[in-house]
Amino acid sequence: MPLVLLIEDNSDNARLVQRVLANSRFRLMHARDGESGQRMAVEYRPQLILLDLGLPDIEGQKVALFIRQAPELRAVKLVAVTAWPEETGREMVRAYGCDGYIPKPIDVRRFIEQLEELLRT
Amino acid sequence: MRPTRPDADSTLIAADRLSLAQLCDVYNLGRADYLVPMPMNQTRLARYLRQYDVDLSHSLVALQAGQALGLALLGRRGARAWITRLGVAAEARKSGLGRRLVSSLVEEAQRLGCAAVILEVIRENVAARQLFEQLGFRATRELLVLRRPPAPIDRPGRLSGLRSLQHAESLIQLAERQDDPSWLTETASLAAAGPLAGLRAAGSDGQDLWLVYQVNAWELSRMVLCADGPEGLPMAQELLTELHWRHPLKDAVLENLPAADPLLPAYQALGYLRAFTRVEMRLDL
Repeated sequence: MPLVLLIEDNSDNARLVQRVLANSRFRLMHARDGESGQRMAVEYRPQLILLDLGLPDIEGQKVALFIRQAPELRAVKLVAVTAWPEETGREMVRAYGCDGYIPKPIDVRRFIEQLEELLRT
Repeated sequence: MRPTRPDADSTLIAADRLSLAQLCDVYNLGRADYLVPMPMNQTRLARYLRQYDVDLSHSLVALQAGQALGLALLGRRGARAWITRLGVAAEARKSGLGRRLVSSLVEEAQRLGCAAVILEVIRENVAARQLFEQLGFRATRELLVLRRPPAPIDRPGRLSGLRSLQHAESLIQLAERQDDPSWLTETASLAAAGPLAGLRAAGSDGQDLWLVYQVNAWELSRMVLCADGPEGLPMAQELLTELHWRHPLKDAVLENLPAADPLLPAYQALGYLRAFTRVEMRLDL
């Protein structure tokens, strides 16, 4: 079962992801801020990290840079989940080393399929 | 400030009646589903209040049934006021709370003798822009938030007479700036943000050529670039090249560069990307 780490400060958004993944093959861990997200990423080495770019302690972009610079996390798929204007959001997250971009609010019908696709690529 | 215009549903109180933790909670609640949420913890909020001269005693929190559901902060510099961090919890929207918060802050600025109120709004936030226009604000310009992820540069800047500036020298340099900064990028904001550094070079025809910035463990930020004259743009590019040559592993963030700034192409040539765009709005009182 692939382990997914969700780094998200908004509890409503986190609950929604938990609900959507509840009966899937994914195991979910949740970090509420950037610092704990970085710590949990190193400790648990998930297959996929879902990263909110707007975090209360550290910018999501900085968390992305940390993950991309950590040798032990080289293989992890990093996906930004953000409400940023799509026109700039896609280019921005790619520049910061993310493998994908899922716009907020998430599409609950497509979410699992999006994660499966990201893990395949 | 005493409570203003209490009614059956909501009351506005001065923001200094809440703790920093409570202010963080109400701010994050109001911004949870915002386009660019920018949540803050207490450390970040305290820094923000200090750097941008936000006066909590003249800022407002909206209460409904005893619960804090809206926030609007007021910064003051001389005869100018700045409205910032406006947010209303999703469940309290479309009730006129945002309008009450903004119009009350405008009244407060007027009472304090301010001649103008300034604010910024994310360009795509159409509802907020319409509200501000209805209250008399007019768009003055677009401001870009640019970012550049760490990326090595293959050479230093081609500059003559290059020297580094320390904090005090950087402030002296900023006293000569000719640009038209936004609230976030005014010298008062930069001076309050912590130690500044700078680069100065000799232009080929005696032009003014310098760059002031802030650098910390992770990031370059608050760049102010001065390069006038006919060779200004290529020289600006060389100053930025030198900066990133010296700091190849730093993320770079540049807030509120006017979209019409003639030196924007220098940033773009160095790989700066547009993160999002704000619209600056002004109301003369």
